[in-house]
Amino acid sequence: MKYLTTVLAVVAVATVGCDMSKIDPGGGASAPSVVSLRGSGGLDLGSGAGGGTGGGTVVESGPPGTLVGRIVLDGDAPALNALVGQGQSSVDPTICAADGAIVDESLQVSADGGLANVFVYLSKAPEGDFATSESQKVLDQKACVFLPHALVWRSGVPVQLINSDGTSHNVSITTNKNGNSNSTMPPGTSSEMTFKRPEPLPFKATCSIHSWMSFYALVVDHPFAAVTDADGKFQIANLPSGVEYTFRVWHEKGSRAGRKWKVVVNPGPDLTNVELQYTASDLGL
Amino acid sequence: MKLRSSTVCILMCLAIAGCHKRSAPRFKLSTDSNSLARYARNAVQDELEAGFGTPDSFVVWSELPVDFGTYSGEVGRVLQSGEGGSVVLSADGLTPATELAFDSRMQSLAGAAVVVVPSDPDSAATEEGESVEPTVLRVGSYDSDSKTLQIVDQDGHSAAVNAEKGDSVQVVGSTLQFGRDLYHRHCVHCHGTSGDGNGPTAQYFNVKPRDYRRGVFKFTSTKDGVRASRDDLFRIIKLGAPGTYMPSFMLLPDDEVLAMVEYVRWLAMRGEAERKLILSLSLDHGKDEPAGEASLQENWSDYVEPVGEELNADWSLAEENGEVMFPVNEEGKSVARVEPTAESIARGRRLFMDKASANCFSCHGETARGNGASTEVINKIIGPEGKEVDAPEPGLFDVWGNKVKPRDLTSGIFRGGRRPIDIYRRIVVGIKGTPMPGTANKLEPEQVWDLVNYVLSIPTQD
Repeated sequence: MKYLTTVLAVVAVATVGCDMSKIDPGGGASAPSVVSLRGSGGLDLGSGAGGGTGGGTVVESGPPGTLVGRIVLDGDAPALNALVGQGQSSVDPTICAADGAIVDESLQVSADGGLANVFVYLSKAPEGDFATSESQKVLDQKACVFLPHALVWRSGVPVQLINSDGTSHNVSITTNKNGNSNSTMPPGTSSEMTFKRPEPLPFKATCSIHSWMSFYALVVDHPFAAVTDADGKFQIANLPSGVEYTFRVWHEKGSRAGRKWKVVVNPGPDLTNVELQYTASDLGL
Repeated sequence: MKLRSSTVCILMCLAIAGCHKRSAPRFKLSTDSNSLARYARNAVQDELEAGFGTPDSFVVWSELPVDFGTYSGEVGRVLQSGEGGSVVLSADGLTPATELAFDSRMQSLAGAAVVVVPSDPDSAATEEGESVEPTVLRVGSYDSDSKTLQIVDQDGHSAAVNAEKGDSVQVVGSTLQFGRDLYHRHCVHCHGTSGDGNGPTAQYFNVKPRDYRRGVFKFTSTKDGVRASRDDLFRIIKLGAPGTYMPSFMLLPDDEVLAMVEYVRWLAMRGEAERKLILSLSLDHGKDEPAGEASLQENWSDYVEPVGEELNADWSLAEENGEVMFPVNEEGKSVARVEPTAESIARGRRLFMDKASANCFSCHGETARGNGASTEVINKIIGPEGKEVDAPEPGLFDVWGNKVKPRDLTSGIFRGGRRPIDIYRRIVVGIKGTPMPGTANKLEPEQVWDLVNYVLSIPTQD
């Protein structure tokens, strides 16, 4: 009996001891800790930290060309339910969906299969200086819908948000690189925002008060980005020709990282005309 | 009997061996990293350990706007003995060199990094004239009476010290160590080792502990789009978040709370770095069609370099005075609270109910019970397959994916503080990471004070 107790006690010690090791590591306040440095550790060590070198490759590129393309959905698009039926809104029923249902814009396909609201863009700007003279797209809020549903903005250039409705909206933005923002916009007011950093992917923005409202925006630091129109068409001009580009093609229903698409642009008036296909399974339909 | 004792012996050996197998603690990677190819996931873990270290072995990364706690002194005498290297510092001994290096905490410097910087730079140069990085050693112990600093190597063994009289000595990292010890005593059981808000106790709560890893804190005095300041975190640790499980730590001395704040900020930065790395790597090195390890190494600096810069810029901004929201008019003049008269309260009530102005009632409801029409809408949430799906029930959600209710303003409980200025900031700045927007510059300060007066009057109204 004594033997058994001893064995049990030892087993108990073993079990308890080993269970301890399964606790989330670092849970012991008394465990000693140590410190090491990265870089100079903020100390003045009298020697400069080594700077990294940019690994940019120099490419012989030709005169600029224009990329014209179309993105189509291969297969039938499922019918989507309206986000809010006409006269069905619980919030602001006299303004939202008062004159017609609010349609689900997450999948807009034209009669001949053109897929709208697809982002086509270079993840990384090619070498060169690409000043912008274009004015930025304005985002409007009308009849409790964001207009447009998908748009490209340039980093560092102010963008305008306006509210054409008779009720207050708010634009709630959660980005990957530019922080988050959420402010109320009463009717007839406008807000200016500047996104300092390019974003790796389009981000989704919503209205918290009318939470079916959403739009997608991509922030880039170059002009080589477009969103397909209602026919699925896009155009990207002034691309140096003869270089192989890797574009990212991204749709809100597709995979999180989008797809990669490699293309070489022809110079001059010979447009590089391409058609890309999405299958229903690409979009998880 | 012999057999029995040997059995016991074997079991004991197993017990000891089993427990000694415990590997060095590491921060758990976020589950988002499961979307990455294995080599990319390992690269994230390695990079995070290079920049931040582990729960009990920190890295002082100079790019981060964190006060790791630095003390400085000057070598008076060098002692070498069988115990290893010691230096006797000149008259002052060690003195705090940064704001959060506390005078009162010098007894607990053990483990902090020590760097000896020669007073004569030539003595540290090679024959070719290149400067040599000083060796980083650790503090074994510090005796403030004899002003003696005992120095050990990275593994805690005795170390020879290459120093001369007049060299400067810097000790760095003690505040973060102090904050970490306190965090593990007071915070870890809810907020978790990595600050993921998922400590062992968290599963029992339906207001979830904050997950710091997005770098987002709900209740701040800073403007829209700006991170939380040290002051904001200090306040919420001291006062707690009434109406939630977050208690008040009012009884802890200020330097303890300041050290915890610094550790929480550091955990938040680690989480943000993790999130950003995983996101940028997921584009090219996701589980489906990964571009390969060679491509990862070739483009590594593109992924990593922006992270430190961004953390530095974003968290430094939060400490700037101009980023704190104060009640000021267009000329920058301070606007005092409007007297909470019946007229002011009535004006506030009208703004509350005005859909073309503050529009509070859409979420908080006409009776301010947190049951407005917006809470009846079915929202999109991220489903188990990573795709957006309709939520199973109506209601609003925060960026952490938790269902949140607009505050029932009749309760008189305000999580972000109940001072009039707290309510003012909640209205103007909003609650970060949640559907509660700020009014920004769309209301005059006097109008916001009217709203504050109304909100503070609600609990006492019939």
